Amino acid sequence: MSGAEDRELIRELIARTGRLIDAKEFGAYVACYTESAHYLLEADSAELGQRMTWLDMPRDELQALLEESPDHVHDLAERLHQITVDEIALDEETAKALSTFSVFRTDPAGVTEVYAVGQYEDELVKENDGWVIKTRRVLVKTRMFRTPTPMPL
Amino acid sequence: MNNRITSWERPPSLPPTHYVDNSIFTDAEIFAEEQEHIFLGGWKLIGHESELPEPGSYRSLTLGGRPLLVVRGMDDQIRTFFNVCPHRGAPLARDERGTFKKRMQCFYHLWSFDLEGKCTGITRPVGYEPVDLKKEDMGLRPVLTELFRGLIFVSIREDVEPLRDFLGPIAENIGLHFTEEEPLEVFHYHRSEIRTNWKLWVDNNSEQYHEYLHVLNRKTGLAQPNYHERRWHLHPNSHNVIDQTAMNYSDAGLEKRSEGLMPGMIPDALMVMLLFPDVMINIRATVMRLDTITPLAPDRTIVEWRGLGLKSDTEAQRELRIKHHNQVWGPAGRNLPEDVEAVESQYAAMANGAFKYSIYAREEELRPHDDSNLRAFYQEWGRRVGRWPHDPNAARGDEPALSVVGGAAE
Repeated sequence: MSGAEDRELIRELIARTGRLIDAKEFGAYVACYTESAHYLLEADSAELGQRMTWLDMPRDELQALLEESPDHVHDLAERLHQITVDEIALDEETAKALSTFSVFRTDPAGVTEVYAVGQYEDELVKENDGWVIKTRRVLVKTRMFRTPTPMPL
Repeated sequence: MNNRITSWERPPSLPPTHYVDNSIFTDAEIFAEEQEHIFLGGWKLIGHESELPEPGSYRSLTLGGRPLLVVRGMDDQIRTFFNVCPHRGAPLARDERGTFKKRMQCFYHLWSFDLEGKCTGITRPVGYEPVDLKKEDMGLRPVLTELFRGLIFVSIREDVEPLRDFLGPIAENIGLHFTEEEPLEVFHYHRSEIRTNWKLWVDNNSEQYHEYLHVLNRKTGLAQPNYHERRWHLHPNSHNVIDQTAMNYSDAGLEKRSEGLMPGMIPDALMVMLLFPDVMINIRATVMRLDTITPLAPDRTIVEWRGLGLKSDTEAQRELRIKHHNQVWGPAGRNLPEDVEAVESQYAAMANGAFKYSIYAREEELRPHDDSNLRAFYQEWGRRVGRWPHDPNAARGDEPALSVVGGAAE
């Protein structure tokens, strides 16, 4: 497989994570990660002058959180990710990718607003001729959300 | 059919303490009175001293629409000023936080002030000599500031009662959790503007009955044997606190919270305390959440959430506290989205006239699902704004608040 093909597969994978979480296809979303993967959601606090951790969980905890989510009262709005992969650094069986994302929120009345913006810092590994995410660090710029949610960004 | 409609519009057949007229949430005139009599007329918690870690540290904020600046002086004392240069009104601090190096300087005409608020320099003073304007007369406008166990309270009004008198007996409960031996530290801060009235957020925070809303609480709390044995303790000024009881976190697939307990807590326990008007202190054994509120309009409210641990935490202890905090709270916690959904939908029904009276009629001898604490909150609210919560347009003089505990006098 050429480097160009690997880069294209990585771009598709990262875009797929947004599409799958938007569609609430949680099983397929979690399958984008290695079994030992880690998901981290962080934000820089202007008020405290430090980085805050808002979610920090291994894949199995993330999966449990997503599986119980239908039981919770949740925001009825739909979300739509728009992701641009800015940089990919390939090293044969591993890679690092930096992406920029926007999440749009459309409420049941059809009103759309920007919900969150930020960056993904992904570390990926090649498994079975495909790529999966080993760690995802989400650095979210938005700190004042229209509605809070435990859904991964 | 008409009789049925009329009955929906009539006050409920309940004691007047046991329901409120929903116009107290939606009426703009009442909102303006609250701003004046409650948020600008008494003590308001604005943060924790750990947010000002060294001399020169500052935070900027607004209170009742007024821009404020809270600063730790070179003498270590925490003071608050209007964040306004007395010359032409530009702010001394334009950002959320930072550190002054011995003095503050207005960015507009470069007037400078020491950290006690005294004007120390007027740019090109010669121009003011003809009118005898002196820097000694141009200090920053101070705001009354007092600390209690690290909590920073301010009052815009200067003739307010002493903070300790305002807190009264609840100060003892605060002292159990904010100890001198184990200072606390803020590690989490976020805020949201929610589309509801501020009192509904207080209401939601204080009410244990709404635990049925939360999947997590249904699994970990409501079924516990001692859950209903706790009691609310109602204090003057409508401060209140409920006894601790242990949750069973393993029922939700979460680890126990038995190590690294916050001061005054027992393993796995939950404790909730309200300081009138807007402060909720919520501790889940190993981590504390502190809520404060800034009302913007009848239907718009800023809620600020802080997470606290011990200042002495090791890296591993802090990491665990943050994890425990985020399992329930924070913008990605399990419970917060449910609370926001509840209070926003409530307000929508009130605002469109579909829902005229709210019911606060549960009597369970001060057990968790008794509404006495909420009744006390609305009675105190009414006393301060000079209106009856159940009938806000009825004349009210200096009558005291009504008793709220099962018809018995407090």
